[in-house]
Amino acid sequence: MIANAGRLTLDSIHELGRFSIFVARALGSLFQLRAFPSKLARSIFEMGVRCWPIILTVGCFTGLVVGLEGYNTLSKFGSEYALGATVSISIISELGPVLAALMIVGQAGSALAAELGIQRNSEQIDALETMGINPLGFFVGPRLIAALIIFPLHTAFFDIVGIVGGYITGVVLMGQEHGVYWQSVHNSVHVHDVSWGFVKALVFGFTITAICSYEGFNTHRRSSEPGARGVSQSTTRAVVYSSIAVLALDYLITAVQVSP
Amino acid sequence: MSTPFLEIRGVRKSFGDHVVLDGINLSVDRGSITTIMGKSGIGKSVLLKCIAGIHKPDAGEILINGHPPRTATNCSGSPEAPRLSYLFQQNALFDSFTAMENVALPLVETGRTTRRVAREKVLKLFADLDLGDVANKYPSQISGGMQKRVALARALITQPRLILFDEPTTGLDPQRKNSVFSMVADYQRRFDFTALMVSHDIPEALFVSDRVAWMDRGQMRFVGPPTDLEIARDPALLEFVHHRNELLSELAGQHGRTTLFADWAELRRTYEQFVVVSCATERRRPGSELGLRRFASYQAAVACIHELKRPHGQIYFLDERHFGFGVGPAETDTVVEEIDSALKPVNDLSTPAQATRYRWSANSYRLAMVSNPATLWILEDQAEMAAPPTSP
Repeated sequence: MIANAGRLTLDSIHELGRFSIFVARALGSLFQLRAFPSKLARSIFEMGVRCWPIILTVGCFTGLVVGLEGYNTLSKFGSEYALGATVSISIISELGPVLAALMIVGQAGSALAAELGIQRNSEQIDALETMGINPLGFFVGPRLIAALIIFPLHTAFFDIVGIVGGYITGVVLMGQEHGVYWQSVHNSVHVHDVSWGFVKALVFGFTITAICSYEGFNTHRRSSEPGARGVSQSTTRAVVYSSIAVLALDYLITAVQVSP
Repeated sequence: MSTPFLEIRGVRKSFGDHVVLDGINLSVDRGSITTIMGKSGIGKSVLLKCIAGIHKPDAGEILINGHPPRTATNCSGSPEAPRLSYLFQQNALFDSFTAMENVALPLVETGRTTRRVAREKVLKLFADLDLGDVANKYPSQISGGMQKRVALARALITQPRLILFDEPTTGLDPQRKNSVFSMVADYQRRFDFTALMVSHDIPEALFVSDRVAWMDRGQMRFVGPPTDLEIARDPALLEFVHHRNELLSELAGQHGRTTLFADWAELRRTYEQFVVVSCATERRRPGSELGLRRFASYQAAVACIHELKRPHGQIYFLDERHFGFGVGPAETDTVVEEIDSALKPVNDLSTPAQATRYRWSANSYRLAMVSNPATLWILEDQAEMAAPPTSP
């Protein structure tokens, strides 16, 4: 058992090393990449435009639910006036970055891992190698940069939609004064909270894209079965590892944020 | 002696405990077409990927014009290595790019070529290859044969000195297979590249090849011109090359051509003559090439020879219209007449009403004059050409 634990630890460290080299090479390859703006625009479209409906939907329902739960809880203490603060702080600091990231993992991250897995299996990645084109630069590098642009934008969009969702519950459904709601939001939200939310978005975006790309790119090496089942395995791993990474990093960043 | 354009020396490659390449040696001359044959899963594609620089060999050396190969991420190669292209088994075209974008990709992404110049070059190449009408179509919108040609256009656009073809006819029907082979031979002449091809298609691939290499158990066990396959003695190679005749032998429940090639020296020691029973066809109609009706006639002819109950017994099945056997000194004078007489009922089965008629006859050759089975075909061809044509 001890031997197995040791082997597992060594394998994990080895894989982490490979992952780090993969990310470093992907970023390094950007310097040799031609037509970077057009590749970046395509990556932004794939990650950004295709994800906004799910961000809108989930953000809206999150705001509605937080507003409803918050209003019922606060009303027990006669503190309904703090609904705006409750909704906005919880969404901007925690729910916005985390849920937006998880939604993008499900929508764009899984698609990215599957696409790269299929391209690996159909030898398209090898084809690029033989053409003298660095596949990491061609496929991964622009997506990492696109993630740094798209995740904060999606998070901001999620935050706004979520706060509006809380407004719908508190003001439209529960009859709170809309001035009270917005005043509470205004008084409680500080630049510091918004900044940390964006820090989380940047870290999540980069990490998720790197993990999904890594899993898809290494489908042939990391999956126990070839072909479609291999792609399915790598896609599943990409989603699971990315989701765990989001939650773990969220804890770490929050710990840094609240530390004195 | 000229230096080979591609030289592979003692290349070894393993995946875990599985040894795939176990000391491969191969030289390929400039401007030639070399075909690597071998059973599935023995590492032919791995060898091509080692040459392309996609896999790094565990040991050994690969030199292209004296330089190690180099890819975008394999920095151990030499920048002076001549440009090579790789035609993948499944074409590896990008689904989200049009044919034009696929072919222009190596120009646009690696050189200083502008999109406009790349487009002009691709259109010119498309015109040369009769691909003009597929330029703006996606790979999913064109046929498998067209996809293969687009993939070949992508391989040619950078004017490579070496092209690696990994089973270029996989998944194609026989007609398209032939056109792919003729395309490879034609383009090789027009664009003057060196070709290294992996193929299972025998004999089609042999027709376009200058040299053939046969790979087995991680090593090159035969390298030479295709004609030398006829005098090769390795039983495993003979079985691979003559697999079609093996099928005929198995269907007729007899030994086949492989045994003939392997035992030729023994046969010459044992027998005085070799009798070849052959089928002549006065005209060919669609369907006769498949040999289906001919095979029915073939089986009947084999059955007749067996009825003679000759003491030698062993029949060698050469192809769908030839078989034969050794004959001892005592019976050499009479055996051909006996066989002709025995075959009469089979020949009578072919009625004038049939579209294709099969006439079986026998010729006897002195084994002392026939050094190897390949010589036998030459003698048999000469006998067929000398024979008067049969009337329809």
